[in-house]
Amino acid sequence: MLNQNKGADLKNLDLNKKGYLIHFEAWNKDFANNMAESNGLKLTECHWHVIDFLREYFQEFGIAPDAREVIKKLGKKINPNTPCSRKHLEGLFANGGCKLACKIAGLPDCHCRGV
Amino acid sequence: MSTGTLNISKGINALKEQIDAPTAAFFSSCVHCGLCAEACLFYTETNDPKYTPINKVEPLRRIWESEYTLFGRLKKVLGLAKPVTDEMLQEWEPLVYDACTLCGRCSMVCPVGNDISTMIRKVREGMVASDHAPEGLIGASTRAVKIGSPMGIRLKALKAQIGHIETDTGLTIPIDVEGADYLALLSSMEIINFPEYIESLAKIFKQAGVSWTLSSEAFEATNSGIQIGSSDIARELVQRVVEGAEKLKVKYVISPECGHAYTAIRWDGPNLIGREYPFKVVHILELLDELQQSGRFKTSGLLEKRLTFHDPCQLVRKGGVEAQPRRLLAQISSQFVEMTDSGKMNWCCGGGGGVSANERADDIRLKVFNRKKAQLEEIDIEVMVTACANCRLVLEEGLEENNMDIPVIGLSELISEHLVEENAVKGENNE
Repeated sequence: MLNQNKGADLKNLDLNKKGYLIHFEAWNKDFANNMAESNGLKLTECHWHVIDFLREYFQEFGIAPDAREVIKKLGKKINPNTPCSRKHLEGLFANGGCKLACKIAGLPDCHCRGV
Repeated sequence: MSTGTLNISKGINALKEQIDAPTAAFFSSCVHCGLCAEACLFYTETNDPKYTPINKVEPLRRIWESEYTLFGRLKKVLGLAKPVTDEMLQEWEPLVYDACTLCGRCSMVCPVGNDISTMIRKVREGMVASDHAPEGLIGASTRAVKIGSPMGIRLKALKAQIGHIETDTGLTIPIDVEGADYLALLSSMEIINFPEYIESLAKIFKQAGVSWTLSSEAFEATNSGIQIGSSDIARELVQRVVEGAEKLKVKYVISPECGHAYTAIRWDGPNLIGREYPFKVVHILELLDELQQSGRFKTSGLLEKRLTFHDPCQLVRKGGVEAQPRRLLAQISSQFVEMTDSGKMNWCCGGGGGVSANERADDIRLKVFNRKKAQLEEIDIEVMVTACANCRLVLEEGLEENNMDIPVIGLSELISEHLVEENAVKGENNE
């Protein structure tokens, strides 16, 4: 009974107070598209590269990558001809930048800065 | 009593507690010369007098005057004293957090020897107590206390990076080795952004025969308590390192390529926890210099690009680590150039003291980077070397913003790139 409840919870697409998906595993592409749309964004192939990277990175390290890591790993995919900059990456997720990218990718939290 | 009133009285009490004999002496010695303004990049790059360092400590000065001076008490009785109010602290919050990196340059120039930077750190204690700290630093401090890292890094992330390094290099990164001589601490940024630092330690220490380890319980070197201005948090974070080092019975703790971590663990730590450490603290550059001087590792080849060294404020001004990076660089570089005002008077990158963790300060941080830009333009270099992961990220961002294509490298990493292959060293020894 307990396990069934747990299983049901993990598929729950509820958001936390800050607007992030509570259960990382519950995420799916429809969720991402809906979250993007409600923030006035239409996802392109370029966005998906970032979203996939955010999810893979979170899975491995348990935190969201900062802009530098994303650019280091994906710079050429995002901007093949000129060097990819922070501004370019922020511009990709206009009206929200890093925080919006993390919300769309279904990460449970994101502070978006190094310290 | 409303929460606001309660918070302001907590803030005022916290400020009162900060006024010790040196602070009182500093205030009564100030000759209002304004020299500290010219030493502060937030003033020089904005020309706004509100950024004069001594002005940033005005809340503390008002408390000192009204509580601890005869004239001030008289003014208070007559209703002529300007009180410290919640509105005042709100107005001063960006001055002490967004526009001060605690770089200490103002303290260096004060003709009467006032340690203004430490006084600003004291004002932050009052800010925290009255709920006037910036969101970015509150988040970082909360994560540091709850998770163990200001960036929210857990052991899982460190182990993942160690796994990558071990697979890529065949090296072993020791963890929790009881009785090792040295416990190496890391900053979160090194774990996530610059794992090359960990790899460099492993390579250099292997050749130098250094017995070292990481700790799964105390790997984080940074101390958000120092940055936000909360001695309670700072104490707890230092205590974790001390306990981790004691558990592994190490003789030394190595502070990594991070500025404020060194201030926290080397200088503030014993005072915070109220006792001496049973181990010694060394900065990685001090250790590398010592190892090189005694021939424990060998480098070969000279980097022929024009390069300079950016002295992290906390290392050079508060820590005195100035000659070591220069001696180390002399062994691997043929074209080392100093910036004007290098060494003890170097200008801050603009992101220390928690400024880079504070999103609200982004614009002013990039504006004051103009000072570093001017320093760099004078010497026309191809590579920049430093020894602080936070400086490195802030410099990278500033350079990118100004379209300056200059790579920034950590000194330990640069040394490891020039390390003579181990087989070659063995061969030489056998000859």
